[in-house]
Amino acid sequence: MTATAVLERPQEFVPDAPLLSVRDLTVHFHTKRGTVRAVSDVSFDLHRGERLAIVGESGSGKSVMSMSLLQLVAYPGEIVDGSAVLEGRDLLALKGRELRNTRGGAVTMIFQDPMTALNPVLRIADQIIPPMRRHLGLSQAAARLRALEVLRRTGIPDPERNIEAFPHELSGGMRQRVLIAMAVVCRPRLLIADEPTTALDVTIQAQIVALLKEIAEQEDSAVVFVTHDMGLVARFAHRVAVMYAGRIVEIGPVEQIFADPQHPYTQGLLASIPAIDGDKPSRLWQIDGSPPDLADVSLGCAFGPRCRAANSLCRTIRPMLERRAAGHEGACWVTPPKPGAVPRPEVRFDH
Amino acid sequence: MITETLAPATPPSAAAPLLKVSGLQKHFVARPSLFNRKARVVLAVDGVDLELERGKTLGLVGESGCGKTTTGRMLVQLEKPTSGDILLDGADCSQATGDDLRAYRRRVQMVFQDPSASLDAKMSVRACISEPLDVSRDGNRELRRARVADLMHKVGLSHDMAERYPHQLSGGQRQRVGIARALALSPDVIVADEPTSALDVSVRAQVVNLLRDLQEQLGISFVFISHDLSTVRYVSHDVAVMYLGKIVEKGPADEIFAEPLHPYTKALLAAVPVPNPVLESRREVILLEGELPNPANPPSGCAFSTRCPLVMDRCREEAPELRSVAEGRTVACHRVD
Repeated sequence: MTATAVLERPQEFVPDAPLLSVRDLTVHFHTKRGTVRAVSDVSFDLHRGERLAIVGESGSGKSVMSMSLLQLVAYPGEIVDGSAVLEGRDLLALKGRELRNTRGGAVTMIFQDPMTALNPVLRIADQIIPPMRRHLGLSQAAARLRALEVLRRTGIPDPERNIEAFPHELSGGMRQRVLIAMAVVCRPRLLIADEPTTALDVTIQAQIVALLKEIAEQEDSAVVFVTHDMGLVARFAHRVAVMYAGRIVEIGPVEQIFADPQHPYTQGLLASIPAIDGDKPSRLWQIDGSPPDLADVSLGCAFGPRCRAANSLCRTIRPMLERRAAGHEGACWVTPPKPGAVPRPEVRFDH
Repeated sequence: MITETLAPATPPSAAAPLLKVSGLQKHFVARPSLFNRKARVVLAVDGVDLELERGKTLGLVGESGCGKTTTGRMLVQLEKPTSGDILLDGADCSQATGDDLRAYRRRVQMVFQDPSASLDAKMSVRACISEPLDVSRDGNRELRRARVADLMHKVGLSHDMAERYPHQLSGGQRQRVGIARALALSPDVIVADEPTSALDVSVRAQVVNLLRDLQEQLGISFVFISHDLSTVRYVSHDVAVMYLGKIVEKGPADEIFAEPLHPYTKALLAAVPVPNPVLESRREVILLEGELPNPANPPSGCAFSTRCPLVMDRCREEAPELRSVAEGRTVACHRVD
């Protein structure tokens, strides 16, 4: 009895066998102003079929981090350290044919702007079929059949006709659906989606997120979902990694992060979003100041200058990620009281 | 001084709205080209009525292409309406030209979406904020300098930033410059078109709080145009929802968000993800089918009929009028009683 139960158990429940293990990923940009430390010592695990949201604002390193998993960092950027092991192979060490076989095969990407991600002079068919022939070894006819099936599942009306369309003939939402179809058509183990709905309207965004969730489940693909929208995180992710100034400052299960955020930056972000229902506070909680310049090397916590709870320890030694609860880590010396009653920081008026 | 000539001839009654537009229309003509042989008329804004009370905020929401930005641009008269009236303190200003137009614009100012695009890269912060004062020749040089310092203080910019250039500022600071510039001529109304969309998430609350403080201190009325519904709910007293050039629902913000009546408003509110994973997992999301129709070729009858979950035959034939359904609430839908 027990033996059969164990046999039936799919692999993703074995906790110590992650699909992807990222360790100490560090990316620098060599600019005239000096070295910009875009990503510093990022480590995380991703399990099969798991959806991890990477949250942060512009310049936090979330996009660079996710792009570097496919070595999509061009000069002056450079991956200076780290590894990203997917099913036994280090993605950051792949070269030549092996790298080309992985990109678009085991690991695929959905970009923010569907207009620039699609080739404007090729029909959809000529962009979706060749990758399948290469990665899955399908014949032209078989690849076309699968393309039509996936396009239909992504909600493209009349796929037989639209597969012959050029990108400009489709609307923004349709183009994003095509990109999703292209990203899942080769049954990737890992799908990286970099702000896939930022260019879209709310009603279309809701459609696309629901689709991405459904299709990743069907294909059993793990998803790294890069976003700055906490609402989308709540709707989509199993786990969340919050990035600030190139580092993960908090990582954990989505319910934990929202119910009991451990880092003042996460707490501030959540408290600064006005609610769609319930009471309205007389003032929104605000994080003062602006994100740091990553070309400056500073001691201590990068969030320190904007943190209301920072002390002398925060200014001199950078806190490391520490365990806060099961699977929940935060990097903070003082986890201060959560923003509740919002104090008026300062009156700026004359009288 | 000039300010005196601006005072309305008859003092406005307390009940009359400060700014009122009715039947506002804007038609853009798409000229015939190599690919499109026929000239087409796009009804970007097709008959919009709005009232803005003194010291209040009116939220204007809708998806891209619904005409909310064009409406905002007509309110500050950056765009000439094809037809319709714009009444400021009861006086029609839609045909204003010359001095009248300049006087109107002093009272109705705009804050643009992207401060890195709307500020001149070659002008210092001081020059940017001073420009409206210089153009309208307000006071002498010293007075204008003092006014700039006062404005910078009001929007929370430290005085040592006066000689900096936009590229030396952060996004939030740039938007503060944009707000100071709009405040320079002490307007009664500020039209803010997506003022927080281009900003970092952690900086948005700063700008929202600033706008609310300014309203409290200076009594300014705002038209807040945004697709960010939770921020609109937070800042607005009244809300108007636009779809394809028309207003489909209008009313007090709290009531609309608590109990939306129009099926489009309902779908829009349901589509917004809530930053709460427990609620999100329980929530039923109404997914609208399809996309916004082409405004150059709108559907017959109700514009929303192509996507509406409650559509019936009458909706496809007859466009519903905006009508009052409860105290202060109007909606344009055949399915609402």
